[in-house]
Amino acid sequence: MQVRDVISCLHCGLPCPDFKTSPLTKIVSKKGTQFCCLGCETVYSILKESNLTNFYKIKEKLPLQTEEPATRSKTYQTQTKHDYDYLDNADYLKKHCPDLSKKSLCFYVPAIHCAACIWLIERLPLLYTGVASVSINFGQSTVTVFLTESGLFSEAAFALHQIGYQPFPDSISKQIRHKKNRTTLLRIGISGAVAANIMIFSVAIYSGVEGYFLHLFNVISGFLFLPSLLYSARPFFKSAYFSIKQLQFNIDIPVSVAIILGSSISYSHLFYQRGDLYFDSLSVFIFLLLSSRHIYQQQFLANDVDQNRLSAFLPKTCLKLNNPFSKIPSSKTTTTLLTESLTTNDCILVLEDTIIPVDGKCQNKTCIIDNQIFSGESDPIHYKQGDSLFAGMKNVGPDLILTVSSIGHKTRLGQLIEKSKSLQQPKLATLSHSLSKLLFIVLFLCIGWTILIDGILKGSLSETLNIVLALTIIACPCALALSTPLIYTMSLRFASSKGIFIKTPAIFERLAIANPFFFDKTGTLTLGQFEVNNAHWLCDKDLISKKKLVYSIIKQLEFNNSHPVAKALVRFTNTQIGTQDSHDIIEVKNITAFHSGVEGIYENNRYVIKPFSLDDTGPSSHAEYSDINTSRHTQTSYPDINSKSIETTIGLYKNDNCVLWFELGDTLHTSTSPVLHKLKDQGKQINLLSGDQKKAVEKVGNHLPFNSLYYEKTPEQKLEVISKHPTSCMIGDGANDSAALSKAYVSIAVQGSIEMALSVSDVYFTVSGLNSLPVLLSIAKQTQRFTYATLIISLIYNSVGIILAVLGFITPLIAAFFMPLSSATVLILAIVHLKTLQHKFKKEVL
Amino acid sequence: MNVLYYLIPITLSIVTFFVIAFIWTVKTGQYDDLDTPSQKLMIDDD
Repeated sequence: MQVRDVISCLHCGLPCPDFKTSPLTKIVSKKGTQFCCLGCETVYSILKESNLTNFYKIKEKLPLQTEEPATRSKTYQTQTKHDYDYLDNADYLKKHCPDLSKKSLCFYVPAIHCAACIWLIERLPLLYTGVASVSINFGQSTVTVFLTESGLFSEAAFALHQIGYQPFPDSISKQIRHKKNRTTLLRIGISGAVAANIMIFSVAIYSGVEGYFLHLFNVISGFLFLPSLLYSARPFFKSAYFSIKQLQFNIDIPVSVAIILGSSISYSHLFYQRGDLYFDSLSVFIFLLLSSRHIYQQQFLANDVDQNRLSAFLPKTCLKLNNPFSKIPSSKTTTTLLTESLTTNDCILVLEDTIIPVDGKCQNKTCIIDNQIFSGESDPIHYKQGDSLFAGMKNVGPDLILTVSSIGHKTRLGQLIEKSKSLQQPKLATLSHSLSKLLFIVLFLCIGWTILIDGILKGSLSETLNIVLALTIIACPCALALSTPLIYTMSLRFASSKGIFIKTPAIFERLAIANPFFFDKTGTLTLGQFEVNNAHWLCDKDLISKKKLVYSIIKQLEFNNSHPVAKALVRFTNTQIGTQDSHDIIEVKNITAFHSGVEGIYENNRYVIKPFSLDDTGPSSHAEYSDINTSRHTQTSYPDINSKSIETTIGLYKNDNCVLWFELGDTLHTSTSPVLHKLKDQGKQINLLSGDQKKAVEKVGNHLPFNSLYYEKTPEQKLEVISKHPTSCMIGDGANDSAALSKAYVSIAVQGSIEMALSVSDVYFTVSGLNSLPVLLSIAKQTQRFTYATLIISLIYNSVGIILAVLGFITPLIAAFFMPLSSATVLILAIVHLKTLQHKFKKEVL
Repeated sequence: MNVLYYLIPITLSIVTFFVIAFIWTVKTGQYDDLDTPSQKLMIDDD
């Protein structure tokens, strides 16, 4: 047996499996380079044919990609050309193509991750001549395909798919958003240019220009200000108008009042050539406000979870049986249809290892279904003829025939999503919002007072105007409006750098008071996949001495099996005998997989791997020898925890005698127990909320510091439990949690969860395990602290300003000077906030 | 002070020029995607 270096795949760079051991045929190109899988080989040969191998040269030159996008392997499914047929459907194009005459369609392509990808996709016209051109947006992972007169979208999409970039149709909304973004940029740019140039003349005016030049400069300022007033400030007026119409308070009302009042006073002063002008302060005001809003919005868009990616979760197309009730198998032809065009009682064919697209009744005698999406459990379940199957489940058994009962939103999955949407909690009016409202009222009272005292009693019009304008400028909750978003933006940015994606910054406030914490079990506290915990040898001293041989047999038997248990066994044998081949030692013949196991022949002995029950052999009567897998659970700082739980047992039978059996279970994340203890120490209540069996839940829960355990809960019951606690925080994954997640005060989805959980949760951890939770809590805490600090500072500034202005100590000029100053203070605070966070978590690697 | 009669038109025309240039860059979509071009730098054109 020779040790060999790991050969990386020529196409994707991932290590190749050892083909000597695997039953797969070795995939080698003519020059002797290896591939990890058939997919990579196909891509390579397509590129070679089209003279596009430059792709690999570019890739070589790039700095090493430290992390592949997780979506890459997750979403890649083998599809045939016909799977994209729906793209040519006229109805579909009408809905999704923004401009039918142009023949362009935008795809979301999550696999784009480097410059070489861009290079390759840009050469799509070489692969399919129907493509006129493509434009790629790297940041958003979208590809817009422009077709020639005769081109077909299905062909273009399939060409993309063939070179390894599976496209998903993208929504139009994003393209509209793009156009909006351009307008905003224009407004900001113009108001910035205006502000800067007015300042040039203002400096001259403030340093004492007199006479003719003073008037000239004022007139120029007045003209320069026009574009800012008429174009850049328009969003404020619009928003103020709409909120007045609906009788609601909006921060844009005082902003608009200040702008309109200021500019009308300025223009009238300019006309009569007396009094002060405020063009400079107003233009700076507009520029700063627009920019801060833009930064804020950009941050939000970056964090936005695109709903569209979720619809990519269920298969868009399905195979409809043309003649479902014919008894002759050969007549069972199928046509590919859009899933949404199915009707009730249609029969569809669900291939092995694909996701069921609709709810329906099983027509096979039996079938094997991965029900992880609803139960969160990885163990496949057997269903009988006539049983109801739901969209989102995965068929892991043989091909399956299904009678459709409901489609789309009417499916159980669709209902769950709908339910989650309608349960979205009302948006909390933030503190700064209500404070601005208060300030607004105070402002009007003060203005009224000024008009009453100065205007009516003293009768001096110009003084009244001055005070009123100074008031509006100084009382404008500009710093106040800026402060909260800025701090939030910083926090959001920092959180995403740590792999925490936050949908709405209102979470920071809510996390501060969130108390009962509910944790889902599978995939949240645990790894969510089977691991071999224990291997028990039964009798047969002869075989024990040949441990390596036995593990090689197991590995060969299970290597090509995709069942989670088989995968766990292969992983386990790898830790025992290394990833090297076992082909060199032995060769197992006639490997056949059957209903609940596999069997094969080695040296005239029949070896079977199948479920094992303790009663089978009465293990107590045998001498036992255990191979404890000690590689796990050494990291936790709480050594008293036995993190294991028996969930299933499987045995190796030699000629019907069990020689070896394994305990397989789901193991806890190493982070679970320290994090839970930390939470408990902070005085939080922690509960376990699982759909699992009582026994399994107690096995895990009893070793952890939970306050209470909930088990055997259906998604609907989970929702009920959560609803009883108005400030609960739910941490979970999977569709079975989605209703509960959406009802929770704070909802967190962890990695490994399906994308759907993302659409209903507020926070998403990209790093597996719970380590992100304390980080998030600490970010929330500091965010709250800094938000209050900035609020107080801007409030003090505003209230002092108002008092001084009413008393007539502040001219509009000073007010205009102090306004940007207070904004600067807030900005500095926000930067300090980000720096402290960065400093705090510098050493913590997640 | 007479120099101002030249300087002011010059400044104003410079402003106009740059604002127009800026409008052109936005309208032609040069700010739409700030990530792709930076990645493309790595590719030699052949």
